[in-house]
Amino acid sequence: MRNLLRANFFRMRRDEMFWTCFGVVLACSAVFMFFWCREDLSLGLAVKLEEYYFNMVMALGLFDAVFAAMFLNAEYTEGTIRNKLAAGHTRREVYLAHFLTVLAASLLIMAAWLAGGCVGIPMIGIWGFGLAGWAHHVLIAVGFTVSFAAIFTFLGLLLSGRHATVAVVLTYFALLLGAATVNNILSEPEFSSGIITTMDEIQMAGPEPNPRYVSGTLRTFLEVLQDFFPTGQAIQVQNLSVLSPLRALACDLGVTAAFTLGGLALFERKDLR
Amino acid sequence: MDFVLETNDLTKHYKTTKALERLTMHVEKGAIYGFVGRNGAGKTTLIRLICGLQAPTGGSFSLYGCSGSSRDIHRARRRMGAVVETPSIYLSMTAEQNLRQQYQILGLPSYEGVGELLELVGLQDTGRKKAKNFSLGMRQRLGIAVALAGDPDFLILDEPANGLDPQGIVEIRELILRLNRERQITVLISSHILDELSRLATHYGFIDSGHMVQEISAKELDARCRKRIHLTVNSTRPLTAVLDKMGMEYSICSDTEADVYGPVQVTELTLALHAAGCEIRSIHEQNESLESYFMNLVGGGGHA
Repeated sequence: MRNLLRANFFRMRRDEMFWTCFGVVLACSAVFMFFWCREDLSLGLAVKLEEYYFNMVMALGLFDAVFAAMFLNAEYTEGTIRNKLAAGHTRREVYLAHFLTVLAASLLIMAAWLAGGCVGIPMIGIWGFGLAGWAHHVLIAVGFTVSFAAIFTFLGLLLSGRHATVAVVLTYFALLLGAATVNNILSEPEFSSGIITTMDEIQMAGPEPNPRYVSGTLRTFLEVLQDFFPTGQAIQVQNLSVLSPLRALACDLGVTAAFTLGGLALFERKDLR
Repeated sequence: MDFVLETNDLTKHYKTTKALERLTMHVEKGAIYGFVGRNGAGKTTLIRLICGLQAPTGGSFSLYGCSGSSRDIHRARRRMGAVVETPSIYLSMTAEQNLRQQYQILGLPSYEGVGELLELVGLQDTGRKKAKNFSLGMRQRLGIAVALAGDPDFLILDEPANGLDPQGIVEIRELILRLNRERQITVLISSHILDELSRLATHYGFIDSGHMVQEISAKELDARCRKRIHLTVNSTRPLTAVLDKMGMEYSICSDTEADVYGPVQVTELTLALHAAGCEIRSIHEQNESLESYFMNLVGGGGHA
């Protein structure tokens, strides 16, 4: 498998899509951070780096999806996967080598985001929650990046043809939609207190139980479900509200194992052309 | 006999179609094996099974004596190079980068030999030009170069002349002959361009609807396709006496049938047979090409 990995990295280094994703993430991360910090400094606001630093984390999955879809699809459209099998590599080796390549590329794209965001350090200082807080959130990001790589490799290698690229990217949006829906439900406050405006005055209403608030077992289920979505974890990192880091990492492990083992089993039986 | 590839009742069924049905074939070491069949006859399916792209539904095959179902088949495949359907090359890479990529896949310790391979296929001057800007012939040659990386001694080429111009076809033909003669590489070529194949092949396998119809050496085929007169007589005993006396080459097909080769003076032969008391019942001139031989074999009604 070492040979396949070397070959994949050789190709990745020359892959225009990889460098495009890497460059766009690096540039966006740096430029947005610079303008956000400059605006806040001009307004005299005392902001902390983490308030902006994790803003781009949601978009990482999209770049991972685009890269994985294009990189893996080329193996089918250009027929090069045949060279690997005809050269005597097992399907298991081919699958795992692609998974590790997609993972490495996704982590490098993530590194571009992390590096770009550091533009804010000379302007507003380091993270308010310190390096430990930074590492804590980055660890979750690494976890869901591994899950993304497993899901996109699964789809990219099991679907072939032109529709595969679209399917991988659409899957990212489906995951995003699912996670956003769960997050919206979980974000409902337990009590609602509102403002009542009458003809003469404005009155504050007392706190009342919010009928849309979900509690008990269903809430626990939705929290776990949110952790199962890599996009759900991304939302939590962006909002600096990771509910349970250990559970999130355990979910990443579960998702990665399920998609990789399932992918290996299905890829073993797939008729290639 | 030393066989590089043997298949035994190899079968591949898809959901609704039977692509290969109990196919048995033998590719001898050192041969250029022409695998002939119509479109959809099962040629590419067989190649896919050999290359490990698909699994057979039934039957077995062995590569260098190693069974297709054994764990060691992956090692045996390392001695093989293949171009299946279209050349398997990265279009965004140059010819040299494609070869370097294949060297890495094979785990070769250095890139030594890349230049020689490019020269062998006539792509040494392509420089930084990417494969997407290559002509079809250049891509085909690059595909063969990629298949030749790792110095295989068995090369599988699926329709290598497809889409090539006449000059490209000649170039590929010369390359295959050179590889076979100079490097002793056994070659399996699937094709339906029979005229082209007849200039290369030392052995033929004719496939139709997933079945092997016939395996034959080029020598045997030449003999069968030779210009001859097919005679049906009351008895071949007087016929052989007359033919021997006239010094003619012939072969006896049955008690009443024989083939006579070479230029035949029909009047002279008829008179001699009449004098010997041999009655001629029918006389036909036969001169088959590979194409007509194949059509007769599979029953026509389609394109080879």
